[in-house]
Amino acid sequence: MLRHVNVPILFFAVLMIIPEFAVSNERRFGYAYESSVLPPGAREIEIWNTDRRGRTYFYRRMDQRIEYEFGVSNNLMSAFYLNTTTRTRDSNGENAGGSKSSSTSFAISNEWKYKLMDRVADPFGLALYGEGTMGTDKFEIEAKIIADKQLQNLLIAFDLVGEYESSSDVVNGSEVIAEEYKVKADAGAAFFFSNSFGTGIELRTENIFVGGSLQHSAIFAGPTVSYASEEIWATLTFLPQIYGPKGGTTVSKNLNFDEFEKIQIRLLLSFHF
Amino acid sequence: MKRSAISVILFFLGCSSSLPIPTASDLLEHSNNGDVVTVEELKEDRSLYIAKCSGCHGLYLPSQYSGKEWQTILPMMNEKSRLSETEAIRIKRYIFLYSMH
Repeated sequence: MLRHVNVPILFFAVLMIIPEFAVSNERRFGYAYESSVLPPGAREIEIWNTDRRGRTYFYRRMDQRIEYEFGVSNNLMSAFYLNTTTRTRDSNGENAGGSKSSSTSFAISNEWKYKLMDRVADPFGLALYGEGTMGTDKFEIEAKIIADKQLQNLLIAFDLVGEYESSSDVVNGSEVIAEEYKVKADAGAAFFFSNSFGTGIELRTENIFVGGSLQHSAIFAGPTVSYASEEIWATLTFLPQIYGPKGGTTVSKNLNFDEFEKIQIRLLLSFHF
Repeated sequence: MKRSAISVILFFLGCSSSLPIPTASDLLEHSNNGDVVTVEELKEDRSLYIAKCSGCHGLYLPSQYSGKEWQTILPMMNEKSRLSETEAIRIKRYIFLYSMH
């Protein structure tokens, strides 16, 4: 579908029509979302890099996103993404012994976030989030409920995610379409040493349902560090898999390296203007 | 897993606002400064802070900065947000009541 659209031109055309203002919307976690939104007219560029590596077979994956975020009205913001995913793996997958194969896919996404409650003024922050992704090999819809709370120098965030994904692949020359439903939950707690620096931990669980039954499940947990100034912010999260209650193999009984990676590392960088 | 999720939900439901809501004891502290105000007026100051400042950025807790730091921050913000003189004074009054001493 994207072959017929000049994506960079479309992306920058959208950039040009959005009004100018400069306020940041920093994220203190790599995976868990927060309820805050950009104010009307504010805009921000976010660069995502997620390195995912290690399965029961040779597997390396790099997800990269460039995101343009903008405030639409009080409590409502939106964003457009350009996504690329590059995978390098054993061509035989779980049946290791094949040759190294690489593939790259592209996608565009659009997200909307609406803040219902403010995490400082109200008892806790609450936001609804929706995102759609269309790419060369997949179609995805994602919905989130986001809750967070700031207690002096401590920020706590939690989100619950429901996702539908339809992806296509080629097997023996024929297109095969796979449908998956995912339920994810993210939680994070960050402590601020100053108004710029913060550190904390994140917890993520991913659950994949195929044909109505749970096929794969894993829990990740690890540290996160963040920095925010008036012009930029950055967040780095290390998320190793700590438990794989469903779908694991005999190689790693309590870990699921068939469907999920041993470790994910995500770096978010953002500039506002 | 279910227990953890329920704990998280109960945590959020049991929260009160992090942004201080003025009480009679705050009034006493404020009156020591020589300014005579009512609790209702201080609550209105708080509402003004939320209404005028959250439109442009995430709200900061007054205690995140010292009074000296707010002395630098507030004039810059007043200029950007084009507050009236009365609004600026009222927001400053609320912020300073709870700023880091």
